[in-house]
Formats: sequence, structure tokens, C-alpha cells
Amino acid sequence: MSRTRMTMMGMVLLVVGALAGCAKPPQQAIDQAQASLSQAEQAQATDYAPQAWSEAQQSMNAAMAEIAAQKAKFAPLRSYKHATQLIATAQQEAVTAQEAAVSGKQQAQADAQQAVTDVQASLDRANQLLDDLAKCRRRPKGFASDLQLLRGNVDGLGQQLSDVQSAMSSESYLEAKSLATELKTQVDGVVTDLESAKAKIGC
Amino acid sequence: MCRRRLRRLNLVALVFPVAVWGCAQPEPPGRWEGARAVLDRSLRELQDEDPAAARHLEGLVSEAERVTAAERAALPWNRQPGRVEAAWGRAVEAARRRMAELRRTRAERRQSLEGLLREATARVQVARGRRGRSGMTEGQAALLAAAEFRLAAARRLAAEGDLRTALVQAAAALQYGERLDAAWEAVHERFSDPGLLREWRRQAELTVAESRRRHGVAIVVDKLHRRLLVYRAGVRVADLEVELGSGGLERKRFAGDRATPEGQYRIKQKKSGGATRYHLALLIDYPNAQDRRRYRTEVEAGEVPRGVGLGGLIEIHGGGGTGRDWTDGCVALEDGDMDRLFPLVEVGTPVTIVGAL
Repeated sequence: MSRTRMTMMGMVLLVVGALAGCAKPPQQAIDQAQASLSQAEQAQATDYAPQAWSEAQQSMNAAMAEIAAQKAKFAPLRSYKHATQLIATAQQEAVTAQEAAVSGKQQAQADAQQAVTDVQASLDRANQLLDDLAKCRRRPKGFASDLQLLRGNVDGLGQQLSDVQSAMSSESYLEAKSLATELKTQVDGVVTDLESAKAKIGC
Repeated sequence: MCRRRLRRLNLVALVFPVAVWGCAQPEPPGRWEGARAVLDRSLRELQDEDPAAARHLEGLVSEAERVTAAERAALPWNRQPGRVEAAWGRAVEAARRRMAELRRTRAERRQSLEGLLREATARVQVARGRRGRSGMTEGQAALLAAAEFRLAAARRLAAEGDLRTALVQAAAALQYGERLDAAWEAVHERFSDPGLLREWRRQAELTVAESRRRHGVAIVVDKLHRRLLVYRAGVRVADLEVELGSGGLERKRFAGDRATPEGQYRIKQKKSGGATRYHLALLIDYPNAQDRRRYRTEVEAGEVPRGVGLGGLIEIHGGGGTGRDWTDGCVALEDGDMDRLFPLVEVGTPVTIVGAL
């Protein structure tokens, strides 16, 4: 065989060898990262950890963009090393987002529960004051009528707690906390009126 | 010749791709930063209010990133001019459309919310005014407190940007306001009932006729207008303002309902000095036989709880002038008016209390 033919065959073998050894995208890692993102979404990361969710999304986008860039290259020149690192980052951030969502939701639940406990305490205080005033010996003009109105107010506000409990049951903790906080403000207003009435009458 | 030619060909084959690759003009890296910033802002806004739209937009952004990276890395003869611009263009256009829809939806929600808040606030203010003047039952006070809470919750949620939940609360506030109005109407509609009006006027005329016949004093109380009319020998000699029970306009049905009774009564006792804490007082003989009959009927019909009783100790007394209904069912006058009335009447003076004249 001539030297020319041998050189040509060598070059062909080289090309075939290079093509056969081309890097492939890290599909398993991609699938895992996407599964982690999906889990973060199910954990309501969009509600309870929006920043972490956004970062995880962006990292995944960057990883997929890098993979697309490599796929567009001449096969022997492809390298998925950087893409693998980006996918690992995206995977980590998806896990972080999921963890942040879980802890964020737990915190929101705890905050909402505390708000409900606080409003219940205010309602209990209001009812105690009403009972104290009802036992008062001194009864200025219109006292009974005013007491009736205040008792109605407290009852009416107490009934609103069921709405707050519904929000808790449906895991709308942010809404539950907002409602409970507003309800406490209203009840505390009545408590203040009752306390000043009690002080004024000298019960 | 062949060897030299082959060497030259190999050199060209090696150098040519490198030269072409080196000549490739990659996209400036920061070209799409502006679009990214716009899309990022849009995604954050859409996330809460329209998650489906946010998902769709995320998909378009991912696609644009992939296309950009692929085009950047592609060989010049493999590039597709305009592909990157098209991908970013699609994403930006979708964001623009979704944000326009979101702004429209928000504007509609805000308008609905403002309407609901306005109407609910008006009803609550009317109810407060009514409470201030004529008092309120415990049930109505509960409705008012609930309406006020819902209004405050709606405003708080709107300030926090949660228009959807604010709308729910505002609608609930309006419902409570409507229930308050209905309760008010239920109490007041009987005052325009022709049959009742005829009966009340008949009773008042009988009382005035007795005053004329006996040349004595008689009292007629008009609850709706909160007037106490004094007749002597059938001629009206005084028209005084009164205050009633906090459930005053309702028909008295049982003890503790704080309503002022309606019917034909007589003064049973005159109280002064230490006998009353309200300056001067005239005890009337409520409940009369008619009251007892009605009470028995209503207990048997289950409309009134058993064992509650009819109550008593209904008086015309002083201590009025507060500007609102506050008694336990009695009729209150200002002390000065009580000073004028007290010497005119005696035990046995007829007192007729009607809903309206």
C-alpha cells in the first residue's frame, strides 16, 4: 500500500475514532434536575420561596442553554463538562428551593397559628370583661343597652374566626394570618372600650 | 507531485476550519440583557396572579436561551439569521400580551372592589347612624361588627396587593350590610302596615275620647316618632320627645328583649325621691290581659322560649335626653319634661303606647 493511501486511511480512522468518542449530554443528570424542580414546584416554592425558585429556574435555563450550545458544535469539539457543572448547580438550587418552600410554609403556618392564638386570647379577654361588667353593681344610664351592643360586637367578631379557620384548613396561611391580624385589631378595639368602661364605672 | 500536493491539501484542510472558526462573529454577550430584565419582571408579577401564564412564559424564555446559545456556538454556515431575534421576540411579545391582560384584570378587579367597598361602607354608615339613634339588638350589633371587620380586612388585603381575596371580603361586608338593612326593614315594615296603623289610631282615639269624657288626663306614646302626647279633656296639651328601649321599636314579646310594649295600660304607681333612680317615674300595668294571651299563644307556637316570662316594671321615667334609645323597655323623658308631666297624672291615668300614628 502506498504511503499516501496509508495516510488517508489513518486520517479516516482518526475521524471515525473522534466521532465515536463524542461526548453526550448528561441526560440522567438533566432528568434528575428537572425532577427536583418539579418537586420544588409541588412544595409551593413559587409561594413560599419565590426568590430561590426563580434562581433555580434561571440556573436550569443556563444549563439547558449550554447543552444546546454544545449540541450545535462540531461533534468532536463538544464537551459537556461545563454543562454538567451547571446542571449540578441547578439541581442544588432546586433542592434548596424545595427546602426553603417547606420551611417557608411551616413558618407561614406557625405565624398564622400564632395570629389565631392571639386573636382567641383577645376574644377571651373581651368576654371576661363583659362578664365583669355584667356583674357590676353600679349601672349608669344606658349601661345595659351599651353592654348589649358590646356583647353583640364581640359575638359578631368571634363568629369571623370560622373564616380564619377555613383559610388555615385550606393551607392559605398567608391569608389566614392577614385575616387573624385584622380581626385582632378589631377585637382589641372593643377590649379597649370595655376596659375604659370598667375603669369609668369603677367596677 | 502527489506528496507535495497532499501536504498542501492537508495544510488547507487543517487551516481552513480554524480560519473560518476564527472569523466567526459571535453575538455580543449582553445583547439580550434588556429582554431578560423585562421578562424577569413580568414573570415575577405573573407568578402570583396567573401561574399558568408564568409557566408558558418560562417555557418561551428557556427556548430563547437555548436558541441563543445554539446560534452562538453554531458554525457560520449552520447559523439561521433572525432565529435568535425571533425567539426573544416571541417571549417578549408574549410577556407584553400577558402583562396587558393582567393590567386589564387588575383594573377591573380594582373597579369592582371600589364599588363594593363604597356600597358596603354606605350601608355600614347607615347602620351606625341607626344604632346611634335607636339602638340595636345584640344580633344586629353582631352583624354590624362582622360587616366592619370584613370592610377593614378588604382594605388591608387590597393594600397588600391581594385584590382577589380583598374582593371576597368586600362582597362579604356588603352581604352583612344587606342583612342589617333587611333586619331594619323587618322591624320597620310593620309601621307602614295599613291594618296595624288603623288599629293603633283606633286605640289612640279611644284613649283621647276617655280623656274628653272624664275631663281627665291621658297619655299616648308614638314609638316610631318617639313622641309622648298628653291630653287633657280630649285636648292635646303637651308633645314631648322620648327615648325607648334599645330594642324599642320591636314588639315586646318576652322579658329581656329590651322592647317597649304596645297596648292600652294605666298608671299603677307614681314614684319619686328614693323610690326611683330616674328622677321621677310612673309605673304602668304591663303586662295586661292581652299581653298574657299573646305570650301564651307565642309560647305554644314555639315562637317564644318557655319559662322566659313577659317581664314587667315598665315605666315612664326621667333621665332621658341622651339622644338614643337606651332603656330596658321603659319610656324615658328629660327630667324637665318629667317635672311637667308628673303632677298632671294620677294612678289610673290611661297610657296607650302604639307603634305609630
